[in-house]
Amino acid sequence: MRRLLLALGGLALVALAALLLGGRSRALARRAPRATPAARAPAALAPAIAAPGRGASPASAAVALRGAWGARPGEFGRRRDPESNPEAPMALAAGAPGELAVLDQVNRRVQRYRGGRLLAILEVGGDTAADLALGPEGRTVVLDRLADRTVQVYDPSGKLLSALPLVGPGVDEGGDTTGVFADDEGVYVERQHGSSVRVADVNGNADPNRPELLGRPSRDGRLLVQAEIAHRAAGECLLRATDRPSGRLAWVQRLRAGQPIVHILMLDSDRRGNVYLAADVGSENGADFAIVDERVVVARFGLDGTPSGRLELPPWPAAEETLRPMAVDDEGGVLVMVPQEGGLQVLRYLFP
Amino acid sequence: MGVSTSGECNLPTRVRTPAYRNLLLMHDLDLLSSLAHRLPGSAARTGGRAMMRSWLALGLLAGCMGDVGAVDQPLDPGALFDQTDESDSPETIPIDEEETGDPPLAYALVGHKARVTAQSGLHLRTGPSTSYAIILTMPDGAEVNVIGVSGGWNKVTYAGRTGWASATYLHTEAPTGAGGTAVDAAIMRAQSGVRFSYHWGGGCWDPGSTAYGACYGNCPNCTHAGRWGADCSGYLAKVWQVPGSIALTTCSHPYSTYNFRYTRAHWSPVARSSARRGDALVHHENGAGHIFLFESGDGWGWMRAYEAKGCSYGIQHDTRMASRNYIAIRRNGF
Repeated sequence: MRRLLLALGGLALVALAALLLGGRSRALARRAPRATPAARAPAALAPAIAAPGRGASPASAAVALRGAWGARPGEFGRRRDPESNPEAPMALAAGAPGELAVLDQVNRRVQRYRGGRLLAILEVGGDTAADLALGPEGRTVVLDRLADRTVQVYDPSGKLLSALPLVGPGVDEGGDTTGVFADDEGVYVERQHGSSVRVADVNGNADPNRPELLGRPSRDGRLLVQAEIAHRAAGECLLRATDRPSGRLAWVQRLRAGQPIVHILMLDSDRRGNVYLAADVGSENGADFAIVDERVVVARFGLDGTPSGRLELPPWPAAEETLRPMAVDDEGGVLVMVPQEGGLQVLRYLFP
Repeated sequence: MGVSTSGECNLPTRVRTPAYRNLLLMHDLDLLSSLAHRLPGSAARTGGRAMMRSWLALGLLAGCMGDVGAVDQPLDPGALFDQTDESDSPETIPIDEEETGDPPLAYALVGHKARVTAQSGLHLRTGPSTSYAIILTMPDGAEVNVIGVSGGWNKVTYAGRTGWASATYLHTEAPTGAGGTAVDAAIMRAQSGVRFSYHWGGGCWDPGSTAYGACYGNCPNCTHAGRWGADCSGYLAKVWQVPGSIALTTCSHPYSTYNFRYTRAHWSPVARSSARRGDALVHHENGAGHIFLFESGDGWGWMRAYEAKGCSYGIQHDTRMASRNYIAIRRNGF
């Protein structure tokens, strides 16, 4: 009888423990969806992310932020209307680690984050903006190159400081422009991935002279950088850095990707002056011309042009157009937007 | 490795590709141009421009360019500045875009040869506008290789140099059997549609009209105002004139992106890497699709496109990226 009571007691304890654990799991499961995507701290790499491609170097990544498709704060707009250009957030920009902004143009806004938490929402005029940049003193610069054809400068509170006409000396056509940049010296737009035109001073006042720069400014202010495909089939890109103060050629380097280049995706820099070049590579299948073995090769170069690292990442996975799918933060973290069926993730990769 | 602080430019590697040489050449011409523009009194616009550039050249070539000589074909310092300009050649005034306000009707075919059609010659400049320095003057009839395009200007190589020239005075020699004239006509039709509104299910516009129309909302539940406009597939069908010749002002919408992507009525897929002017890039998945006309590629492998982009955008001419979801197709006869 005593054994029977002990056995029953043990069973009861096991059942109670299972009940408690199960209840806790359910409670956790219930709690998880309540957390707003923007409030979620960076976590380990989500299993949904595809592994890097063939021959990839190990790359550690963390989810910098995640948001479902939608229009609420922390969500992101996606447009897949039939017979038109599919769109998701067109661009992201990064500052100090954890500080980044996503151009959520479909929802007519920029969402700024710090440490994975939604910090501010800036309303922008239309739903046709294509690029953004983070300027000094918390300013945000937005490029609308096709519809409004303006460069808009916002203060940290989201107040529009100025809306500059894009077309003018140095820019014949809004569709020619391929990016906007901002630093302590001014605001610039890039033309066809080549030279840049200074369109405003740091406060957003239009520059009537609109001088040209030999590339896009590096974050440390020391270089102007340009890149181009040197040999598509051989998988070679050239990267040129100009010493900004003197205007003299600082160095030229090449990226050998090892596979045909599909297109260049990113040219950016970190606070220390390292320059990052990312190229989408892949081969065309002879039967149906599909691009196979696609991946993104990211190369890092030191201030003097010395190659100092290389990453291989999954390719842009969607049909949605993007102008700036990748960016580098101050400390060299490579941020990548990853549109998925459920929403948008931004991953942060670190060089080994 | 390169040293930026000493003013010397040591090449990181010994490079042998023509593209590399062009890059260096362009860089230093750009550099000279920018330095010249910084001179007090805008010396570049005075009669002393050639002398000033020569001084700059000597200074640069003594430093940075000295290392450029390490490449397989050393650059000739004099060759960089053998251009004819106002001070060098008072008897002939080479033409440029400054002499005409008319935009070119059709750009030269990127990736093909073209000839200069200007009796007094044509300026080759370091960039696509008259604000850039003149590299040299190409004589009438000179043959150039067209490697890029930017708003009425062609990026060309001539006599081993790379620069920009007004597309108005470059005549494309159509590749044999490639139907250059038909492609040119298609590009002109595409240009004539820019600024017109996006019209879901539409496909007509009047090039002589400024009644562009407007689109509101998210298609297909969008609202269109006005008579003219097109969606992406209606626009492309009209630009390509498929299935057959039809006036731009006659509204029609014969094919969807599904047709362009999965059938071969009047077109066939081609490799993206061999896409050329007049081809189209199309994608269609899960009931949604888009198509645009390919004009040229840029240095990043992005595409200069004509497209009916969407309700908020209308018909645009822009530089864009196309993901792997897009395949290239070529109209029969192009």
